[in-house]
Amino acid sequence: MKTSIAIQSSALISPFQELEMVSLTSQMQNNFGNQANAIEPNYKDYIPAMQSRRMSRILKMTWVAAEIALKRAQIAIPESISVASSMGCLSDTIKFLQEMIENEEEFMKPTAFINSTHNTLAGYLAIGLKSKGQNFTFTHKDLNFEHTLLEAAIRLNTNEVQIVLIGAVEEITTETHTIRENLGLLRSAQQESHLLFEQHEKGYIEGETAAFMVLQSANKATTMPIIQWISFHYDLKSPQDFNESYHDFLLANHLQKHQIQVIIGGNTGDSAADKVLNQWVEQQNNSSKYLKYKHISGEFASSGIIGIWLGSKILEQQNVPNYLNHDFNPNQKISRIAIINHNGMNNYSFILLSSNDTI
Amino acid sequence: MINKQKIYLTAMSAISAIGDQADDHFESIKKEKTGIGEVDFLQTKHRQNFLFGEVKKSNSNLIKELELSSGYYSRTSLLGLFACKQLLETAKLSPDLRTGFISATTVGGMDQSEHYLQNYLKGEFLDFAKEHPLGSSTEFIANQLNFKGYRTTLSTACSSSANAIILGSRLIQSGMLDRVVVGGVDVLSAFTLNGFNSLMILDPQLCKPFDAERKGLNLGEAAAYLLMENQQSMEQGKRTAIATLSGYANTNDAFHQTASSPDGDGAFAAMSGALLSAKLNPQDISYINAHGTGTPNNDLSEGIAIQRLMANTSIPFSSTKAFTGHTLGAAAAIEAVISLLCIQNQYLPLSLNFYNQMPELNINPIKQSIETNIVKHVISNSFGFGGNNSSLIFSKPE
Repeated sequence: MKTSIAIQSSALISPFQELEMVSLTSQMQNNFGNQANAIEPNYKDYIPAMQSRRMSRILKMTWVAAEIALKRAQIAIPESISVASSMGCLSDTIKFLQEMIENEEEFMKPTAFINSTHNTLAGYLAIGLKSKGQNFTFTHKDLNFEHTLLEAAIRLNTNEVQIVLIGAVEEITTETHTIRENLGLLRSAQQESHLLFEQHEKGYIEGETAAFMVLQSANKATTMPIIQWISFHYDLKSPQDFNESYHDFLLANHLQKHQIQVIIGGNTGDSAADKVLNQWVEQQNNSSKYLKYKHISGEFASSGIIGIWLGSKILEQQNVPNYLNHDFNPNQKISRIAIINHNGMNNYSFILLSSNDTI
Repeated sequence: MINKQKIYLTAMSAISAIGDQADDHFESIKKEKTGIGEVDFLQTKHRQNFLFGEVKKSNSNLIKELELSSGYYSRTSLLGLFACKQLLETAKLSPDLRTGFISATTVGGMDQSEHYLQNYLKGEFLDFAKEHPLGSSTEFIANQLNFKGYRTTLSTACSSSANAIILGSRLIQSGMLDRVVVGGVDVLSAFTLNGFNSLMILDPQLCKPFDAERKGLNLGEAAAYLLMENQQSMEQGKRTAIATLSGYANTNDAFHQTASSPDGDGAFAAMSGALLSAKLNPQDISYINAHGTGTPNNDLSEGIAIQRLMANTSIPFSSTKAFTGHTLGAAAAIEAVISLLCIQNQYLPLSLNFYNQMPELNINPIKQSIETNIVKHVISNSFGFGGNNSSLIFSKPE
């Protein structure tokens, strides 16, 4: 679908980016093993202690990331809030469940239950920010942020809404990490994360993030990166299938391959899951520079926001961070980035991100 | 909402405590027969203390009826598939048009995880762990029914499936899809029971929506789905419209995580927003299918909002939750089906178990069901935790 959405601001609490940093130049390479935990800010700087005590970790991450994104866009009350959270507030869910088991369903306190609902985060933001407009929470298994983005884009495109605060939030807990390990979804704990894509093995690095963006309809005066296209492509089982979809994407946007300077690929690191994508990339002869990012962010169902965030920063700063690629010195202006994502289920999202001078 | 094209609802299916298919729901309502009673299947210490709207099919019966190989399924996946399969038997969908699937749920695979969490941690019963995420039931149903296209999952507490309907409409309006199966599924679990019990909003007896003596809600379980399509898709499938979706709104109360504002501002904003998007006035509305959970807080807040909306006019309203129980993420979908049945049968259902007027209100819900010929526009309300309020307007096709 054609869109014309400006990313007015963004903020993220993630495994690779300090919240207050907006530059891509610093060295932030870390070694996470198979678990990429977010670098959390000092919450005292953002939330009054009284309030903070009653908030779960994921709620604090959400509140601070959203607040910073709004501040950067100079927006006090967002008209509408959308959150992608595939697994919701896991800690509270597990806490209530364990209390229920231990106490044999007696003397249950409601706090953890109230906080366990998937839409707790979006609801809390609405209350805290006095945002009375639409408030959706998407909880799908893959491409969850992209689904959230598409719905917001439809409303922005039709002018139903002018400003949307949109985010993606997932948390790692000890329990779910163990369960994911047991399910064989993750790399080994000894994994050196920067070598994720060099070692062709099964499994990904588990990630967590609270990331928010302020979106607005783009117009002639827009100076920020613009989302020009969002589409979903299902059940692509071969590089040929994938190539057809990519060709359709280029055609729909009246573009030649070389007009896309950079592709940001959501390779998960799981060699089986990435097979189609890897084979397709090999056939591309470097017509666009291909960058991967899930070795720095880890993987989760709403991870698409990381690719879009990186894309927007690369467009703004005309610079590719060295933790994504060591040998890429763009000798031409980067004006268009294709962001491709998947979460290991043969389904893909394509997003076209452009600098303001392309419209 | 920019109304570029009409959104038609052409098929529906539902399974709840009052029936295995959509039409059964009408029969039960007509006979004033509640589905709420004692539980047979839900495993909880509190099974004697509360009443539930339970679907009287065990998981193994559902597996058999659905002709599934024996395996690890959440009840959510099973009930959801049951309803969706039924829908696609009524409405055959040709593969040449773009079809989407949007399913809402709040409980996901919790009905199994609450028994097996410790096992998951030890590496046991992991097939149930895979079923835990909310999106798993959506993917399971999609795989079973060979849905290859756009599919997603929403969860906004008790308004979840209303928001699935809103999203479906937007995807058709935007030209992304020609048709979409929308709805929701939630099943009884000890987790939600204990949660609502800890909030002290369960009535140990039958719930009494909008009654002065109401004490709380009864939990229920259900799955309900509707086929929404554009004109091209409807004509190609040679289907007729049961109703159109003429308006909707989702707003936020921005008041409290689990309570509605006592002045009904949130509910009022949702209903007014839906009227605005449908370009209708309160006097155009024939009936309101209220959220009406039977909790002191919801019914007061919603009652005041309905009273404010009526102003100088009078709109019949009732809650059908005393039939089905509160089915959480599936509630809006079940009540969308009931709203469509009201339009189809020109029938306004009573608010079961209502006896005494609320002292705060000067309006009452429907005391005796009405057979009529005036049902043209129906508002269906669904309000959830996190201040999430949705109102949908279904209209009789012209």
